[in-house]
Amino acid sequence: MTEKTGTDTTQLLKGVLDLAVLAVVREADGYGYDILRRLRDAGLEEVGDASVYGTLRRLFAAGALSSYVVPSDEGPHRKYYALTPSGGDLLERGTKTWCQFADTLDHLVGTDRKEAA
Amino acid sequence: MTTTVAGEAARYLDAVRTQLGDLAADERQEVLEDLAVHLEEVAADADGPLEQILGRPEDFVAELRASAGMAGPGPDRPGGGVAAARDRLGTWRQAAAGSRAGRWIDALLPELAPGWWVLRGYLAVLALSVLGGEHHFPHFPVPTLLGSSVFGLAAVAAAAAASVQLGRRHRQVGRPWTITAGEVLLVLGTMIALGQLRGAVGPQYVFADPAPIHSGSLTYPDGSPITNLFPYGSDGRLLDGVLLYDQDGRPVSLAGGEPVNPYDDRLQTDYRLDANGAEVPNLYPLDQQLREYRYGPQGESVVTEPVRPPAISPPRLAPTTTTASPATTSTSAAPATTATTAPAPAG
Repeated sequence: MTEKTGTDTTQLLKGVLDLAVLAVVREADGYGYDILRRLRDAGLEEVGDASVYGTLRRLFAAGALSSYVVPSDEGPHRKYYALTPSGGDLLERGTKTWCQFADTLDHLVGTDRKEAA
Repeated sequence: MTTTVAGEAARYLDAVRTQLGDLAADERQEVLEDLAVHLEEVAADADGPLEQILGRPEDFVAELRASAGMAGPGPDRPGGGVAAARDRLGTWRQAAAGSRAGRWIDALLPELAPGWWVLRGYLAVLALSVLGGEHHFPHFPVPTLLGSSVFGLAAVAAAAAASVQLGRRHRQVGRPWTITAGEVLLVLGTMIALGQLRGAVGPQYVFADPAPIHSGSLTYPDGSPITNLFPYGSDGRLLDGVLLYDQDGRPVSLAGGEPVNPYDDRLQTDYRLDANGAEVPNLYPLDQQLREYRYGPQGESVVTEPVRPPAISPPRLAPTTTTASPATTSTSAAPATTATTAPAPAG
């Protein structure tokens, strides 16, 4: 279970998890556990297994991701997810929205910080 | 996709399955199959209990539902009566699973599963046998297939093995140990079909009787019919026009030896009529004709032969004594007295 820090990043993650997952999959196709590890390795350590898995299901159902099964001799067959053109468009729009939002928040937080200082 | 799930991952998956009880079977199965892979990998890398890493199963499922956009098991969930009923069932199941008895049953059911798999295979063959038109099961409970109990037994062995294999595969991918609607139909359908074939279960005896069966005939202990009676006097002469009655004054009728089988009309009886034109069935000997059908180049021909009295050797009687007691005389004379005083034969 993820431990909660002073800042509740899990709440922040909820709004951007779609974008984060699409970005990871754009980098390379991956299966659920692999995508989860890559998100955590990227710094989103508090992301939950169920959240990632649920997000993958929802993006797949929406057509943003496609899937295929890769047989494995050593372990279970894995369902890999790949970005679809529709998912690529979604990622592009989400990136713009995120950048605008981040700029706004940076400005806002920076202003507040200056005032606080 | 199949995944072997065992140990803690399997227990966690079972708990998740319980929490997803409100989902449609297909959707739930799909979710669980994917999760089985995930849990197995998480468990392999885990340093501690899965619940410590993933949270309680109910929290895990709540997070999964929220992120996947799945409807929750609440009462306001859209989907009409079926979804509402399924939700209630899921709630009861969760409540039952939380109780001590529920946990005991949950632990017991997987132990019983192999037995059910074998039974399922057997029932499938039995249903196939009944649906295939088999109406007789001489070695029940061994089903008959293609008219043979040996085939039936071989099919049961094969079906049971296949069913066990299927059950093991479902268990490996974490499919819940539940009885599906199809299996319920299989059980009910087989039971109903067997109920209708109740008389077909067990050894079947085929009676091969070359003689026609006669209704109302007197028969010998071996079942052979008495089709006519030829009364003889003590002097050995054949009597004609003898009316016979039983001890209660009822006419002794052979019903003319009419066969039950309507196609067997070889024996034909012409009854004498009384003054009212009614047949007198107990007047002996009966006037009978025996028809014989012959087939030759000219086609079918019918030859009619009158039934003749049999050749008999009447016993020589001992001379009667005149010192018989009144009681004996009365007893022996009773039938004759009765015969003379009995009402006229009914028409």
